[in-house]
Amino acid sequence: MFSKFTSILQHAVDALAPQLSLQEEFVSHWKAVTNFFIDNKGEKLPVEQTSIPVHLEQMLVILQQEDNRCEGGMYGPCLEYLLQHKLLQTLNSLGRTDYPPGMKQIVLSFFTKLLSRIKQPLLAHVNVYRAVQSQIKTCGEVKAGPSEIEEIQFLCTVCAKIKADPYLVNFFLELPKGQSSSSTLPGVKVPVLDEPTSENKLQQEFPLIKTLLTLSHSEDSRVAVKACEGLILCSSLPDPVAAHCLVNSTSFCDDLTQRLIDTYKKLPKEINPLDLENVQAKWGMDVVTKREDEITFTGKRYLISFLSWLDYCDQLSTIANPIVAEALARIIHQKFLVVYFQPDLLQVSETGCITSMAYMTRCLRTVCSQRLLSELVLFLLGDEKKPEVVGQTSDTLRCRLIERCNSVSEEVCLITLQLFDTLLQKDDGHIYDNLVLRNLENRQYFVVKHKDKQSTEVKTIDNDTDDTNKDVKEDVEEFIPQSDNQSEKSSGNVNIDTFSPPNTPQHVKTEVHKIVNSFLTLLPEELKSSYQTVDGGYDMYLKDAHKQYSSVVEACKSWGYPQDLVVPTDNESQPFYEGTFLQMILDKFSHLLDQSYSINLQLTSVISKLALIPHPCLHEFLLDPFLPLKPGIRNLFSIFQKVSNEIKSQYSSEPDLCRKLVTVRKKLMGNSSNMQRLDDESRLEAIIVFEEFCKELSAIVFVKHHAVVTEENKKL
Amino acid sequence: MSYSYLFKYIIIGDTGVGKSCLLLQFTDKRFQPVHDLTIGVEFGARMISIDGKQIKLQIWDTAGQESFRSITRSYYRGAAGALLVYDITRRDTFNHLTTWLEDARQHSNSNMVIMLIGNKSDLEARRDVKKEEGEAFAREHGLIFMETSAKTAANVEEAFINTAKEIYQKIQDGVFDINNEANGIKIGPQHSPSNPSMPSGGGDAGRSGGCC
Repeated sequence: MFSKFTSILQHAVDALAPQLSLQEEFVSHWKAVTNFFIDNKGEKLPVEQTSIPVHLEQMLVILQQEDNRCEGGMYGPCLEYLLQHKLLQTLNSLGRTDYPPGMKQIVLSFFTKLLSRIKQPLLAHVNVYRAVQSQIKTCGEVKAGPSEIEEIQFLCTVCAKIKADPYLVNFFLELPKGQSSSSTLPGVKVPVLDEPTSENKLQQEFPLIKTLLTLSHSEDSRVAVKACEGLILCSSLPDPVAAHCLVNSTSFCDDLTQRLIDTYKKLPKEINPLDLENVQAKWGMDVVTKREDEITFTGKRYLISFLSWLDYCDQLSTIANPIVAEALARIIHQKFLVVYFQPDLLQVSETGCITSMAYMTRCLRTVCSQRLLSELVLFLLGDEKKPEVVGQTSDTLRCRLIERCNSVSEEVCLITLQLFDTLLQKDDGHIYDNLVLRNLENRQYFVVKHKDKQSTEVKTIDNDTDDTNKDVKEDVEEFIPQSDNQSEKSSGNVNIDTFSPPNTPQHVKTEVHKIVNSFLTLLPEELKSSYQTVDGGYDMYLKDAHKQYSSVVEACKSWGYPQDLVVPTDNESQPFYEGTFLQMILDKFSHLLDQSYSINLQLTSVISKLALIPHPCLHEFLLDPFLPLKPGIRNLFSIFQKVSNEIKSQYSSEPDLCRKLVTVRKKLMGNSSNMQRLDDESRLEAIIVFEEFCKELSAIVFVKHHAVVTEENKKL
Repeated sequence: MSYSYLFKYIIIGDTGVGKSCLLLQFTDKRFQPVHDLTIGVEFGARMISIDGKQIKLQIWDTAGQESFRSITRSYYRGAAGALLVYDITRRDTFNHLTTWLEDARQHSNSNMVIMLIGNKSDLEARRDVKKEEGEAFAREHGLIFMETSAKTAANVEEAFINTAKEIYQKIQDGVFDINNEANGIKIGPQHSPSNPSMPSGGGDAGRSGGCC
């Protein structure tokens, strides 16, 4: 009460006093602050009831006025006074005692306002950064302390300042106590800045990070989210020394990983896949209340905490200094994925395994930052780059996952295929290299005939055009057998053998429509049911393929795929092996008729992802019906033929088949109320899947071909 | 308090254009003449009513400073509406709109409704950007436009509510899939099909002004 009165009195005095200079006014306010501590020993009034806040605010107002007048980096007299007399250090000590109660908050907000309101660069000044550094260390000392809000405002202001002038970060790194440089001999004055030697330079402490980490655990979500922002700002500084210090001398990586582990452990043990699919979790202040949990599904809030923390790590990795992103990703791999996720993925319990696979799939969808994604992929698939050898199985997670696609449990099989499907949509070249390309790249499946050699080697339209467009050609993603272009451009090449029957190994002379037709004619007309219903649907496939292909091409740009096919060396002793993944895929496709509709759909989705990839080997192996294969070697088209023959031999004599197929198709499309299942409905469904998939693949062939031709025409 | 929908908003624009003041005027109906820089993201919420339906607006107020730009980008994701604010007395804030818009379009979902706001309309004497220019920019980029004053509260309600109306209309037209939370829209407890007997009102979900 009394002090309120003094403050009012003070204002009155200010008003009556003769015009003081700004500096005199500034100093008088400061004296009023310091006098308080001389005059009011032992009083227990909270700081708000004293005149201190008013005086400090007035000091800021004066500094700001002065700042507005000062041009071009000149410090005005008030600011000079503040620096010379180490006001900030004094305030710092006053704040530490938190006397009068609440003083800490007042000091913090003084610092915050000073840093954010004054336009002159202040932080580089020794009397400022030292005070700021000690102020940083006072933050986060008390858990859930009353000054949390002021602390985080202050810390983030410092972060923003550093982010704007990244060199400033060096003032906030310091050698651990007792390790300061050799000049600190007794009796020798400590130099202004301890100059760290090069070895311990990367081991300096980074108190700002330490406090931000503490505050990121705050119960108050507003404080926590700002602390997380501060961490992003600091982790994204370009300075490599700061990045190393952050990684080496703070618990940053461990702390972020531990939070991933803690939230992971609380995930519901069972979850409806649809719920998992629909949940959105972006880091920030989305807190799911217990009530929402009750309304939607149990454990939603735990799921959201986990996913939003993963999203935070992912966002941070995207923005962070590569040194930080790298370190964080490794720790997440070693301490979280291997220790916690792996045992769950490998567990024997069917439900447990399904849930954990579903979580992994969801994680894959969330993670987009290059480093974190790459680590996730390494965790799932390993780093092997050499081709797989037949019979050489290892007990890796990758191996187990591929085996699971053949699990007796339909659900396990389905969720694993979904995992691979998701994986194949991610922007990381290693996924394709590891799963398929490393075994296809040397084309050991291919029969090299002497006369073919020439034409495969030189993969161009014809030599004349090529010479003139050499540069252009190099940029073109070329993966369509050359003759497509030949005929397209009607260069009058005599080699086009338009009369060759579809099965002759004349792959290099094939026109795109022949390939398309090879797929479309696999199923005899009488077994096709799509013409019987409204949707012939080929346009849709073309549209989809076009859309997907454009985005795939965009993603693959950086993967350095060759445009030309290599000529396989004949004397290779290694027999061709497609690798465990492709083997599984081909095996599964050959069992199309015996598998459920949902498995088949998922399988075709995986294959079409592979088929879209603009890699010449993968392209010919999956999509070239006329590929000359070594004896005993199968490719996708030969499996298609096998399935087609199976269908023909089993069903061609069956009367009424077409009508049945139409009925089943209607059901699949939800256009039928008839719920009764036919005896062989699952096989009929498979035939429909086959029919549709032939269309889809042929559309992909067409789109890929078309893209190359348009690209070339554009460049000509 | 119970609500039918929750819309997530984000307020963006250069530093000092009045983003935080707009939010404060909308949520607390007051104006704070001296406002320190917003450091990091701030947060506000208010209930409005459209078509007789209660709608909760959850508003994220971002820092305009360049330092925070990369973080702001991550907040675009999952916002149903954005208020893009410039200061009619400072042309540079108007000139930066293209950059803001590019950023927003690139990092948000394509259906996000963007309202362009020329703030500080009370400072007519210091006007540096004509109203017509704002209108033209909005027209060119398919935005809704309004001039507001966070000080006098002119058009502040309208800015927030019209944005909500636009989002609501998009829901009615089926543009927004309300089951996909990625769009920045959540169905409130009133709508919940799984537990229709849930009493409305009370509970902790609707603390006004608080976090949700």
